[in-house]
Amino acid sequence: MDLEKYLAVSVLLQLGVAVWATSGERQSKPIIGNVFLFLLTFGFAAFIINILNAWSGRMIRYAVAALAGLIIALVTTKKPKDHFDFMMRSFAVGPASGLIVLFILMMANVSAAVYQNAMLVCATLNNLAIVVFLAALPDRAALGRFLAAFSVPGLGHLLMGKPKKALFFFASIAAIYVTGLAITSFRMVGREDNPFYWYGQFFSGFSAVVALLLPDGKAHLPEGWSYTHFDPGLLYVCAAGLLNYVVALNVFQFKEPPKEEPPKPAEGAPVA
Amino acid sequence: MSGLLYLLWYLPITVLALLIFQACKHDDLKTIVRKAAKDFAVLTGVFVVGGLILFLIHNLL
Repeated sequence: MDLEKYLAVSVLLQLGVAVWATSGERQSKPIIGNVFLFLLTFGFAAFIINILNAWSGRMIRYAVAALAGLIIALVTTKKPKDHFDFMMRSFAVGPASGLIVLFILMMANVSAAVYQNAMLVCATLNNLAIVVFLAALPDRAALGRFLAAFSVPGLGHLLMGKPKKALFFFASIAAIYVTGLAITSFRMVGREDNPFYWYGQFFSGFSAVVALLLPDGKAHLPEGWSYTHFDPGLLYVCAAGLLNYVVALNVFQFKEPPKEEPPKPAEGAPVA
Repeated sequence: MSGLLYLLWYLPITVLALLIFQACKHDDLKTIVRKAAKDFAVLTGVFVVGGLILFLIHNLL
């Protein structure tokens, strides 16, 4: 199993579910939702630290200092006012908790295999939390649209009954993505090229699948091109994924049209 | 290709990104194009002015 790709797609789907779960008015069970948010942000933080290779001695000192300040701030403030307030705190507590666990692992001088297994367990727990959370919530139509939009650019808006927007989103994002691939000679943007651009291409299920199917080999410019064009090519591939994620999150703002109520009988009308 | 031609890649991706952002918020085509054009002008202006300032600082100091 390619752990990094699994984590990348897993975390992105969880982010979308978190936005869906904490937006709008819907019934939810707070305990399950908050546990889910905690696990989600914990896994997200661990993943970001891993892809940035930020685990150095100096980084640890900054992380611990930031963590101490964060814990003090959270403990000394008042109780959360509402669900959104708790969500924002969870997004702060989660990464802080992830830092603690990773710091402990590093201090214990665990092997790379143990560290990778810990990351895999973290992501799997997050995915299980999604299943539990979905079972507790009644409204799944919006989530279905998000998953469709995440998979194919514009598909979510097509399901919402907006074909022109769907076509525009698909055409524009596909054009950006293909242009980026052409600059990189149709090779996957690798983590060694740029970790941020590498991660960005997984913000779309479509580009993630294409990236896995591309021929092996490092991304490179076509013959005769100046090296200055390489970064824009990486950027185009990343931007296609990021823009698709924005479009996918947009489906949560769709409101179902109100159902037509049957006409009420006029007052004084004879009753059969 | 000249070393500065890569800056042309800025134009299409910025225009499309701004159009996508506005299309997510609005349904009217004229509103989308108008607001995206305004955002593009502001963004480009900031980059140009910032680039000029950096150029002057680099050459004068």
